[in-house]
Amino acid sequence: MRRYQKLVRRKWRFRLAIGLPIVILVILASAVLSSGAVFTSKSANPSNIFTAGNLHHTNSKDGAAILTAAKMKPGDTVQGTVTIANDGDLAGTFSLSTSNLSDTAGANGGKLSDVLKVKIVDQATPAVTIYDGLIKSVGTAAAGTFAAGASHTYQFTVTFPDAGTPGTATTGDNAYKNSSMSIEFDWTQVQ
Amino acid sequence: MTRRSWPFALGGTGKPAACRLSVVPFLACLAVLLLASTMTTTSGATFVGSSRNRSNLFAAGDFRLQSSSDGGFVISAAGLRPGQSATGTATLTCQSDFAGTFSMTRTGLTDTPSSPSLSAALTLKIEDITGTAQTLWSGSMGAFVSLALGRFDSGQARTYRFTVTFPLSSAVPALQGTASNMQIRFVGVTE
Repeated sequence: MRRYQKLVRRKWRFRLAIGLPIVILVILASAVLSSGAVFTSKSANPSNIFTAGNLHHTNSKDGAAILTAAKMKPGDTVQGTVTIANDGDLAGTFSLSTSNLSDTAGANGGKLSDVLKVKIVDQATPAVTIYDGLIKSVGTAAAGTFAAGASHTYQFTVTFPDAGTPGTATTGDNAYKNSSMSIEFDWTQVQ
Repeated sequence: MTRRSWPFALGGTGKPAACRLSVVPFLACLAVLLLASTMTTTSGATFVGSSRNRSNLFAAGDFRLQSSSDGGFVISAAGLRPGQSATGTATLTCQSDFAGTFSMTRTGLTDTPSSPSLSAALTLKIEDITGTAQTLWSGSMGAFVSLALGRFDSGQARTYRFTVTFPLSSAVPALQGTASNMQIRFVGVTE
């Protein structure tokens, strides 16, 4: 083992003895060559600027309700619109979801979110229905892809379906007397 | 003595230890590189924007019919003598957030005994006496089925008078000791 180590050390000494002078020579040669002994010429391409795009949209009723309705009765319908504008400089794919659903049942115990329906229509040409069903089951609805600068107006129609004359004072549609619900609509834009 | 490599070492057994590559560190490095690569791919590669429409509130209204006779009315004709009349009144109030259409319906009629029928011999007159008395229905008590009362605005009240008469012309000895009982139910439906 010691013999092997000795052999390795000798090998390295030999390599240093040969290699070190060569390295010194190369450094010296470089210094001479770059010391003004030759003409040089330069050109530059400055200001290569890169900026990130801006993905942004505006909501015509941002932070506020699109529609509300008080004292609804079976068969009633209420409508509201909101305009979503892609005011960034990138195209965006939009989606709509809901959150913060809350129900306050009336004396007969019915939850209004169990019966209220919402139809959401992109009023483009031609119009596109992006959701039609129970308001509590919107999940995530695709709202389309907009080019930068484009805007879409969505019409929300909330309906309290009329299930006919209730059998008793507390069943059928009577279960929802004085009930109320609140929901939030959330818009998400992804490039 | 033959040195045996660690079972998880890569490289020839004759090479110095520094040249050997352990599997565990190698895989760890690979995992870190893959993780970094994944993060580069998924983090910040997509811009996202969002907006919200809060507090979309929907509330159902209340619709209640208050009756001075608690939703129903009982016309009882027992002990009436030929030529006599009995009267009763009921006041209906639309205690609702909206207008409704009201009606009264016979929900039960009992003659004791069933034959001969006292209700067939009696007459019934129903008047709206809210203002000037106005006859809404008149005929044999046994023939009454239902009566439309029309539209009530929210908060509106109307008073009805029920008059049951045992006409002399209907008096027959077989009706002595007979009785008749009719239940009337008031129903309101939202417009």
